[in-house]
Amino acid sequence: MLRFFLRRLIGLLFVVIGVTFVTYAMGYLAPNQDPIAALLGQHNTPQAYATLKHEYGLDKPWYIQYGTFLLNLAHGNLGLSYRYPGQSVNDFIGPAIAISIQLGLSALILALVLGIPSGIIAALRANTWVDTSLMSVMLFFYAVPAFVIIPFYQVLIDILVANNLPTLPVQGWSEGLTYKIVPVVILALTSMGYFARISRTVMLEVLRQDYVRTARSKGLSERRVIYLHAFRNALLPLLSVIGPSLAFLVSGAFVIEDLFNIPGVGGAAIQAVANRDWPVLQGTVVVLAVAVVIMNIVVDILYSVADPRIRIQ
Amino acid sequence: MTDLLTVRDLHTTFHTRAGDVPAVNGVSFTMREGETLGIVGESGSGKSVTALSIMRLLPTPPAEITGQEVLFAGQDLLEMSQDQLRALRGNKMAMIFQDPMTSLNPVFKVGFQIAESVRMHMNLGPRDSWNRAVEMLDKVGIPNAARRANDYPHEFSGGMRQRVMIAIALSCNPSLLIADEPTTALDVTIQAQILELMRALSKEFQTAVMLITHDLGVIAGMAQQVLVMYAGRLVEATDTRTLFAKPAHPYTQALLHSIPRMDDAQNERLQPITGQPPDLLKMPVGCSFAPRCPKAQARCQRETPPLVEVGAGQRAACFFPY
Amino acid sequence: MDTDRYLEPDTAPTQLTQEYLMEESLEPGLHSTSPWRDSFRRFLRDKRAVGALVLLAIFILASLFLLPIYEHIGPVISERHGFVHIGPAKYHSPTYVDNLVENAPASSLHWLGTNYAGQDIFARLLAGIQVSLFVAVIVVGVMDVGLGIIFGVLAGYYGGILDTLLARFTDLIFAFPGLLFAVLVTGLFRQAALDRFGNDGPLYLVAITLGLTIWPQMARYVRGQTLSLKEQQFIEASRTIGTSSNQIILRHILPNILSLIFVAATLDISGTIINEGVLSLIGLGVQAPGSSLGLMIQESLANIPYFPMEAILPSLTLTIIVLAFSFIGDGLRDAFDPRSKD
Repeated sequence: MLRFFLRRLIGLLFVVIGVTFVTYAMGYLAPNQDPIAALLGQHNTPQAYATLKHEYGLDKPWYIQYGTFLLNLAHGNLGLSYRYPGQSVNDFIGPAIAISIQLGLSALILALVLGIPSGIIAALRANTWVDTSLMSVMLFFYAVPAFVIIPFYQVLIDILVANNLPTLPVQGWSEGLTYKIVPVVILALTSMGYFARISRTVMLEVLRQDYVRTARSKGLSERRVIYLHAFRNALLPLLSVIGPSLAFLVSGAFVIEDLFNIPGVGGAAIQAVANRDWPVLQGTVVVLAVAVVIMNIVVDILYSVADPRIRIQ
Repeated sequence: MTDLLTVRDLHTTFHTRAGDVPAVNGVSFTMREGETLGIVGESGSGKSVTALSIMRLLPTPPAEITGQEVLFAGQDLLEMSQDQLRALRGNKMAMIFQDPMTSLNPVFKVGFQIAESVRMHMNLGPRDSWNRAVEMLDKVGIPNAARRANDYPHEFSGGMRQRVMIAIALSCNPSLLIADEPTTALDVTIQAQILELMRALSKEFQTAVMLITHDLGVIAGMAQQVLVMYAGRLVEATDTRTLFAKPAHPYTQALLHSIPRMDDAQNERLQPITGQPPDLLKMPVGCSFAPRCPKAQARCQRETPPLVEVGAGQRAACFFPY
Repeated sequence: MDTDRYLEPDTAPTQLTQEYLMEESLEPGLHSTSPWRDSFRRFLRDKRAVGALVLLAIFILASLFLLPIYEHIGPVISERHGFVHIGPAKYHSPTYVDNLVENAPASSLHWLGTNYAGQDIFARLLAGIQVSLFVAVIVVGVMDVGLGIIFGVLAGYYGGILDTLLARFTDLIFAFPGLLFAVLVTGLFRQAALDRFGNDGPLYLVAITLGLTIWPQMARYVRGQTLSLKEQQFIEASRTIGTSSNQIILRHILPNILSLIFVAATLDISGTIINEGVLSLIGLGVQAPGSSLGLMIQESLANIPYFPMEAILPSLTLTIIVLAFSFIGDGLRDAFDPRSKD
């Protein structure tokens, strides 16, 4: 168990180094306007310029800059904003992380809770109208991105409002639970479609395994055969696709947080691009990459609990 | 001994998009209590489907099982509801399969997989059913049974897994055990051990065994009665001694000529059966073996020979037996 | 990112009933034709996929040929601008801004109306489809398939340093989930692309960036297929009679994995078109007054209560394109790998 964690921790370290290095190299190579000059604006004097440049550490060679960045990162310090003088990147991202975790995890759970049962139902009714219609809906949600669903939803809201019908609000994440429903649901849709499709495939595959026939030959009830013997095995491939599926959530978060004005990490990243605030952009990239790695470790632990063949030593 | 299982005119057809496949085509036979009945035939001859049809383990659709009756201990299996069948399966009739590597559920302890069946059919509590599982593991010759019951299937070798399958099958004292090619996937040395175990336990539990195999050697060592199947039909039914001494059907004769025999002094060359078994979608009119039969006559191409008594306790579906 | 394809069952059906259920093996007359023709026939049986293909063909042809024609349809008008006479080549151009006809309804002059900047929506839709197709061709057709095959086959066949390099690079790209890398790169280099290549610069940047992130996954898939093929006996047999590695790769390996790559690439197209849409939507893609379906959606969002059609039209167009590619991809997968469909 300890060795497993150690190995994963080293893996995490490599991801952080890789991601920060690429991020840093990109920022270094990109032809941008001088951030120090931009920060100083009309107060730009040679002396003030040199002082500020030193304060930001930009007078050092690139490897010292990168080393300092890593060292600060190890202390949980993501550096200083280029746009807002005196503000650290942590000030921007800190509150955003909590919001994004709330949004992302709720969406992931919703996607699993709706997607997996749909896939199982479709598999049990394979090639009937239930299967076909359910899977068509799921393919729709899987294929059609959130930013296309959102306009349709807003048109729907306008129709509802015009007819004095109740609607769910879309703007104002932090104002209460009802404000969170629509963003979470829309973010969940792609992953839900994905899980439903995978669940169907996996369940069909598991149902034709020999051990399912063995379970039936023991005279077990159909419910026990499906929900214990088959589902317990279907769970393994399903767990293993949660990791790759997190990419949908990250991509979706950019759109949803941007369009719904949710002050999360994805929204912060887009703000940072608009502001040319590269340290903030780098910070969001690192945070999102690390979050996904941590989720992957959690999934790996769950997997090793679920599959006796690869118990953690 | 009384009759345990009577199958009369069993038909199993798979409805596929390409057409109907008559996998089992009018099979009739009787098994007595405690007896070991061997069913031989090449792959696709319908022997496994016959067994699965009796257990009613085939998915319907695409399979469709019809027939006059399948009497098991006096009850017609074809008339039963799924609930009634479930009460019998794993209890009075049990089955073990060809591939022990895939037949056990990989995510459950083997003790659990045995106890689960016991608990359900014998109405035992969790502790008693677990104890029964350990006892069964011990009976099938797994050392340290109490400890090994906590292991998962991947921690057992192929032969050991087949022993676990036997333990599951026999855990509720079934009166019929169907063994579908139980040793095909195992090493030759392990095969003999498993067969010996099945023989000893079926005797101890007084269980009748339906042994499905393509290996006539296994039949010779285990079975009292033999059925020979070809292209979904029964072509010969007799006792084991007669089968080897005086095979009636040309197909049985050809089978025997195609395997080496220890008691054969003349050291004859082995003779393969030429040609291919027929496509079940395009069954020839008349005897299905006729296209490959050295003795086939015009009549064989026109009429399907019925399974009739050709000697004492020997039935064959051939117009020109011996 | 489409991970479906890595999950397809690799094991042959185990139950003996399966041999009766494998329709393909029983289908009369199928043994004589080539596998590609069989797959094509199976694809044609999938009505949903064929319908999608037809619809997609109409969209593609319309975007390529109808736009230049549309720019010639319509009168020369002068009343709007006093003495300046402008023809359809201008007001039917997808980029022409005219503040005098903002948010105009559909008319014989502007078939689907105009947007907030007075740009012709029909022309912009057609141009937007062109952008989607351009991105699909560059990202999937060139980079995904091209780099994926080259690096995948070489790494799988020869192993060694190339294999290690591919693995490391793949790990690096995979460390950035979803659009993260694309957001980073397009964010940092967007201005430079605009300065260097003008208004089309960001689009090229988007295409190259998406291509850079998409091919490692394909390469890994191709590598796996190559590895398993390499161990097959017919390759071994071919080697023993002295066939050179190049010959083996060209004659045996490529033809055998081509159909799988074809299917995987089709499924990658949907994701790529969506990603371009996302980047344009969040302001990292196509630059106004240029057109892209994602940009059109972004521009319309503020006015949805008043002009809902301006949002619905590009959304619907994108939905149809993405769904069509998904249907076709699903159909192709079922056609080329019948086992994957239950």
